[in-house]
Amino acid sequence: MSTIQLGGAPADAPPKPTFPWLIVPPAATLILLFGVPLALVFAVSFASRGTYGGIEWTLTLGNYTSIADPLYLRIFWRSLWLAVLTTVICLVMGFPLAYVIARAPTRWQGILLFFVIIPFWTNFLVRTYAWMFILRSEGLLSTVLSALGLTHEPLPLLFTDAAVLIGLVYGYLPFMVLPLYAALERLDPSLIEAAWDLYARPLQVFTRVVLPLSKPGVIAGCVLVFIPSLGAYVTPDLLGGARSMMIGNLIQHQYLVVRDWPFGSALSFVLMAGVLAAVLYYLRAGGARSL
Amino acid sequence: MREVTKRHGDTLAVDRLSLTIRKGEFFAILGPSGSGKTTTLRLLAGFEQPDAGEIIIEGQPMQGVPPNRRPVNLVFQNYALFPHMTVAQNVAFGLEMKGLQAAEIGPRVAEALEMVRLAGKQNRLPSQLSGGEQQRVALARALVNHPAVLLLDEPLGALDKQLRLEMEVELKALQERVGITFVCVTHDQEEALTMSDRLAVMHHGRLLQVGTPEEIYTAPASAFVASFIGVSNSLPGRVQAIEGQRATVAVEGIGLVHAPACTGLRVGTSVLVTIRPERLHLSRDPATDGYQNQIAVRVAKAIYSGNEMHYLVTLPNNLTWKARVPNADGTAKRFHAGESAYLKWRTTEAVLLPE
Repeated sequence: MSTIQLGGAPADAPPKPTFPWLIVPPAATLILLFGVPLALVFAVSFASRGTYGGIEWTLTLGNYTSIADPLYLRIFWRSLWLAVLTTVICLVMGFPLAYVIARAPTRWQGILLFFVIIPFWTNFLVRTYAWMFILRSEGLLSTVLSALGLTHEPLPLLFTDAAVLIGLVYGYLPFMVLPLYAALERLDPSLIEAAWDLYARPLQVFTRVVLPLSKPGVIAGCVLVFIPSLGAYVTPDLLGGARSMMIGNLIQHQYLVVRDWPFGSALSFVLMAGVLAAVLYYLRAGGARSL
Repeated sequence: MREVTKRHGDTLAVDRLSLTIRKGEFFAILGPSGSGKTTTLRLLAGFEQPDAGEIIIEGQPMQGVPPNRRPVNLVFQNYALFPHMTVAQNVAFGLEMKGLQAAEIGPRVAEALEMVRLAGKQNRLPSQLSGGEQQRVALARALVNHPAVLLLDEPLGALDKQLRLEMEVELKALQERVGITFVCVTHDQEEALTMSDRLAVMHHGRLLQVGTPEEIYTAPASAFVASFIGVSNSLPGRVQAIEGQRATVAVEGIGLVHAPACTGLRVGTSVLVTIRPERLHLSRDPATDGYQNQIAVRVAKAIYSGNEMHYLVTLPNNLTWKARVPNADGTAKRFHAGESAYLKWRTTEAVLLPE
């Protein structure tokens, strides 16, 4: 038998696996700052609220059962509905944008992507305040529309679901565009030409070739938009006010206003479970193999 | 194609190209990269519109007709198979888009796959096939539509040499069987000569010569064609005399050589005398023995290449020529680098080209 040896180590003795020290800092960070607090919140969600807002360690499932109250269910339902709508609108708006960027000449692609992420240069809170000024009854949008003669009285846009939706779409559109761009940029243009050559009309080229081949990007973009939309806090707080509360606001309200930490914790866990279930279902339905 | 012109920015990709391709023939467009051959194909397919001139396919003007409404199909250079569809779904795509019933699509797809010997692989994905198989799927996907013209863009470019030689023969046989007009773009002269009934040579967006492979090989119309179609040796000279079919050319540093006169040739014009490496004879004997041309040369390099010896020989005027000699009779007759020899050829083997 002859063996060919490369390097110094004997061929039949694989190098001894050493402990991967490099994962210690991120692992420690995750455990200390994410795992432990999560476990605490989970524990608190089974405790009871003390008379003055403290935590009493009498174990109960009451926090979970009281979520079934129609008042809270309505907030859950509105959150879900707004998150789904935000995701769909971002997809419909983001797809053509990502497609144009991916098909632009290479030197333009960088510049166009730069425009997509330029809003991140300003703090999200500041940008949401800016939307308040645009959407106010006497704000920019209302003034411009009445100057154009399209409306005759101030538009009550702020503190409505529509305002929250506008804010969410605005905030999360880049999270849709970037993964879509990555998928479309990889799409071989000759596949589009091939479909065209094989008698497909433009719409068929899109539904039969472009869309199926960009599915991983669609899935990633939808997940990235849906999850933060469902748990959004700043946008509904500033643009929705008290009338358009989402789960995020309800949780904040329980912790800081009502001072019912156990109930807030239970709400947090129901939200997490809901997101997890929705995303798993979506990945299963959308064919997770392509991810 | 009549007077078709296409510009890409400032460059003329295709310059006043006029070309008639006959129904049912295997037509090759041969040229180096950047010669405009691929643009010509894309004009035929409809991906690009000519800036001037017109394209007529089966009597129908193609001006403004998009690719999805042209009776042509293209086999892409990289095959462009849909990676998310099986072989059968790929082949069925065109028929489906045409709106055919499933009952009709099934048998036609099976027939097309049978034709390219891929029956039994219809449920594979393109990524599970070899390069040669992918190429055949691309062929089937185009042929299943029974196009008036099948366009092929460097169809064998991505295959290894062995497979390429097989596919050349197979493609030609397939074309004869289906009787569809094939227009094949290639930069490989061997491929073009082997497969085509007629071929066109393109350079810088212009058509240099159209003819059968034999016409183009034995009677190239220009120095570019002569050197692009196979390797050619050439000598620059000036016509000294014309006697009937034979011209005598004076070559500086060498003397007089003879070549068949071409039409319109006049005494005093500058010409190139070209001759193919396999038409040359190399001998140690100065006797002319039937060869009308003879030059004393020095062997610069001798390369063994199986059935032939390839020699690089230095002429008295310091030009280097190539000669190919069959390796039929033993090693005794071989030349070695540094040896002196006599290079001989018959007058009829040379071709005169205007310079």
